[in-house]
Amino acid sequence: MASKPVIVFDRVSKWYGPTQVLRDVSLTVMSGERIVVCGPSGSGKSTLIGCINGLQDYERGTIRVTGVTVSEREGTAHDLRAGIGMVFQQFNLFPHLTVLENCTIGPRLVQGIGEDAAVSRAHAVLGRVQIADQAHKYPEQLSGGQQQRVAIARALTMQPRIMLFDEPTSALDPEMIREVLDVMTELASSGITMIVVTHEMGFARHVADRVLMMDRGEIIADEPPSSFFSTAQPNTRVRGFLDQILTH
Amino acid sequence: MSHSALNRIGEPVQPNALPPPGHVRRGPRAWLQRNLFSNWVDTLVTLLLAALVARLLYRWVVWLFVSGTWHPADIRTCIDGGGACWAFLQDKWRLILFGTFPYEQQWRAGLALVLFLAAVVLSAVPATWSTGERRRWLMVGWLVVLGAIGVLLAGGFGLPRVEARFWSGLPLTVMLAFVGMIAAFGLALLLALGRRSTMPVIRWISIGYIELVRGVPLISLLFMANIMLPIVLPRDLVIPNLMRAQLAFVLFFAAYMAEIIRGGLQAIPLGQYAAAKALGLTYWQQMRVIILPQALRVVIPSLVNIFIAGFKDTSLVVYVGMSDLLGTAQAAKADPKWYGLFMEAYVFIAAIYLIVCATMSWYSRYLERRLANPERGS
Amino acid sequence: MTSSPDVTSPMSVRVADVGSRAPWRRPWVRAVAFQTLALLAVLAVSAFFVSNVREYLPRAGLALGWDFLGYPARFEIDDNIIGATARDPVWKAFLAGTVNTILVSVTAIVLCTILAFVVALCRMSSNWLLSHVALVWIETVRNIPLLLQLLFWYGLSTLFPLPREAWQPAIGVFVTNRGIFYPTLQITAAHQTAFVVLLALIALLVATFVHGRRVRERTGQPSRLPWVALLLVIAAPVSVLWLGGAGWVFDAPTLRGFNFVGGSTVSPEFTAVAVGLAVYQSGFTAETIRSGILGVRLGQIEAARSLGLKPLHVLWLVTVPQALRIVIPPMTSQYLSLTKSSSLGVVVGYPELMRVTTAVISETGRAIECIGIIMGIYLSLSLLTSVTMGWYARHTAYVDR
Repeated sequence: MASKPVIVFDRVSKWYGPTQVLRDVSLTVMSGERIVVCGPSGSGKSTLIGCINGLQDYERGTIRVTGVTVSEREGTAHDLRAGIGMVFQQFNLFPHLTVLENCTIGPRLVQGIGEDAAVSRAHAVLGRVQIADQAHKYPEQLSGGQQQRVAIARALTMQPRIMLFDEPTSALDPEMIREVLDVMTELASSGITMIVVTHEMGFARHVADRVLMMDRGEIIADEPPSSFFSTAQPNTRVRGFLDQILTH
Repeated sequence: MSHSALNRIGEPVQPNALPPPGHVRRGPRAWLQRNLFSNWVDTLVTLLLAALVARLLYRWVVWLFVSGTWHPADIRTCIDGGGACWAFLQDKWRLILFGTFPYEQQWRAGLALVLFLAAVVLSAVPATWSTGERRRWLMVGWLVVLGAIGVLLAGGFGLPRVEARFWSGLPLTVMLAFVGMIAAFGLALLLALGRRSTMPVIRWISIGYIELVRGVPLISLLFMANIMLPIVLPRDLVIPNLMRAQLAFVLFFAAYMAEIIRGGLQAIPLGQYAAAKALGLTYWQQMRVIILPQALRVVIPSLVNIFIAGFKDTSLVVYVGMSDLLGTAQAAKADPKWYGLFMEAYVFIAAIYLIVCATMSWYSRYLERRLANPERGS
Repeated sequence: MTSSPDVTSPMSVRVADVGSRAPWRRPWVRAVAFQTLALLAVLAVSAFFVSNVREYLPRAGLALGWDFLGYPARFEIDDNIIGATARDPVWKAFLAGTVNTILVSVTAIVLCTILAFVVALCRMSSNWLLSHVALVWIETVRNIPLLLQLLFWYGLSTLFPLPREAWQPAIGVFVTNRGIFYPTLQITAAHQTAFVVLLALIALLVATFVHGRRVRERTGQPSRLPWVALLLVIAAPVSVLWLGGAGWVFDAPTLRGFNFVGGSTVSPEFTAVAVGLAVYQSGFTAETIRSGILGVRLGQIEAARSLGLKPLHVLWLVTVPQALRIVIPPMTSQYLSLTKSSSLGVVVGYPELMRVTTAVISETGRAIECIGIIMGIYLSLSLLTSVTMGWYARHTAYVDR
């Protein structure tokens, strides 16, 4: 395959005060790969993806994205962020801006494209997440599922090469999870590199190329879904975790 | 609301004050019974208080109108007459309002005030700033109005020059408050951002400034601006009185506003910062487009309250020898011709302050309600 | 796996362009540079000021130093309880000013608290008239400048009768336009001893209350000790007075010529400042108290009621303690601002700190040092308060979980 590594973690460690949240994590993500990260709460999964676009700092090791070391100090983190889309658990839409304004702000201010070009691009991505008709509403007038789709659209307006999802369905009512996962599945088929922190095991099974499981700051499993979910899974911690979330 | 308050302060809820469930009585009689005569204690309080209020009102009306003197035979009877001496206000109202502004030119100061008031009233209507385009027009309008006011006060375009030291009375009060608050707001924004900065030097400078200024009274800052500035500045750099007082105001209120704005910044969820950052916005873009618009919206009511405080506190400039509204009132009552009068002058300007401040605080509550319950539109 | 390039979103140009930045575009370089500049700017402004002061001092025939604090003040402070005179050194004048600032502020705070509590309760009454009278009070006193109110009260005090026609609300007490005169007890050693004993015993009483509460919490048995202590507090000073043979001789004010002599005086300036500050602040404090009481959740009160507590008990055991927790921090900052506002007393001529400072400056010309002193005193008052508040906040915070 012609793909090359886009994200490389090399023995990355991070502490919150005295507690270590990442322990010597090493990981390579190839271009176009779709990775699902799961694990119990507090295991460091959100921290892991937060480090990729520099929202979180790390103390030891290196993270390279498209060959560039992610560093807030050097300013590379900021430069990289323009090419990395991120979707949050709590949507984090800008409440004082309309859906359309939420989606034009990045291209206009960061990429410096004109207002008209930004609007037409925004309409295109809003169409892609099936929400074009809500463009002039404010976020609080939308349902949770709609808001999360707008958040995905907002990230896509930057035409990113990498998309990070931090528990995108955890704050949603059950009946709205489907619509968000559908959009993500569609996105996955477009060849974009995706890292998704989620407990939606159905999504992991059908969409992911690799499933990672984290526990206490370490990656304890990294395998394709077929083996990860297989009944012959040798790792007892993975089995325990899967039993716990699949029986619910 | 009143029932919950009642419970909280421990007054027993009167069984007969509560309407039977599902049957709320209406009409003036029911209202009276519920709110004024719900039991015998209540009735007693109402009657005593009504008597007191009536007596006070009666004395005021008598003082103001019945024994108030409009056309006194001579000044002493007016002063000692036991009622309001309207002749004093007739004589002095222009002095109180415009102070030492040249008498024949006072229409200019008056017109400037009216223009300013009109601009403020227009800007207070939310529809005026509901869209970006309207906001741009509003800015243009303000620049025009401020320019016109500047010309009216200072002269030019065929109007004779009036030096700044003659500006006094209400125009001076309004100017000190308005210019002071706008400039303080700008400084406060920087201080608030500085106090939350990740750069330790910037943070400590901001904290030091804010805490230092908030720890001392305004009057000591005015005093300092008045006597220290000439000492710490070169001898040939003379700053006029007005600018010194204005500077003290700006420096003082900026510290208080900064703390209010900081409160607003803290109220914004961290997710907003994260999302703005993740989008690739720079620090100043994050602040300008995402964070400050939300933070300032939260603190508008508190800012209006600071504005009210600032308007009232302009009166402290009398201490450094300037004649704002309070200063001109003092000057008016100091006229030996009217020796012994003070109530009339004070009541007159108290009414002005009261109306302006009460209107602003009403407006602040209105904005608060509107922000709590926004009707998005346009 | 699809490795074909994304059709709908072509690879962003920016990501491909990202590399290491030029040194001057790196955030850490900029942060260091910016902070250095800021520091330099502050230093430069200070140096500029200092150099101008250096040039000014010889021109004005002055030198910096604290020696002037030892010189005679050469001005009288009409109204001071520590007895500073024009012959006393300057530092004593400052002390007198500080004492006056504290005295007038504390008086105003006490008055204000009482007034505000009454107004707040009235405001929350179900009686429409009472609640609206309170509302009018709050809106009026809050929206008229404090300085105007002080001048008004001061002006009112000039309308009081002349000493010859003094108004006598109680025997020996005379209200005049020169102040309020009242008789004072002639203090003997026995009085002083009794006072010291009283203070010591009050401290003891507080200690036993704290102890009693601990005992009650531990054993469930109320401690009798506080009652014994309370008895002591009353009995001991009385017996000291009796045994010491303290007399009850009063120094009563008497009219001599145009004014009263003897006794003690509350000056019109003090009255105007204390009343003005208290009235002005009462509007704000009443609203704070009201929001504190309204901030107590109704469920708390209903729970207390359902335990069978009487309304008064609910007020004192449930509402007031919880409301206090909400109210004390904002009230402290209001009282701090009242204390700072007492500096407006300078305008009506009350000899508080600000007034003394201006007098010292006009006598000695030592503006820089004097402003340093006054700022220092106000700042330490503020810092002391905020440190105490921080301590209070940490100790009363609800323990979560």
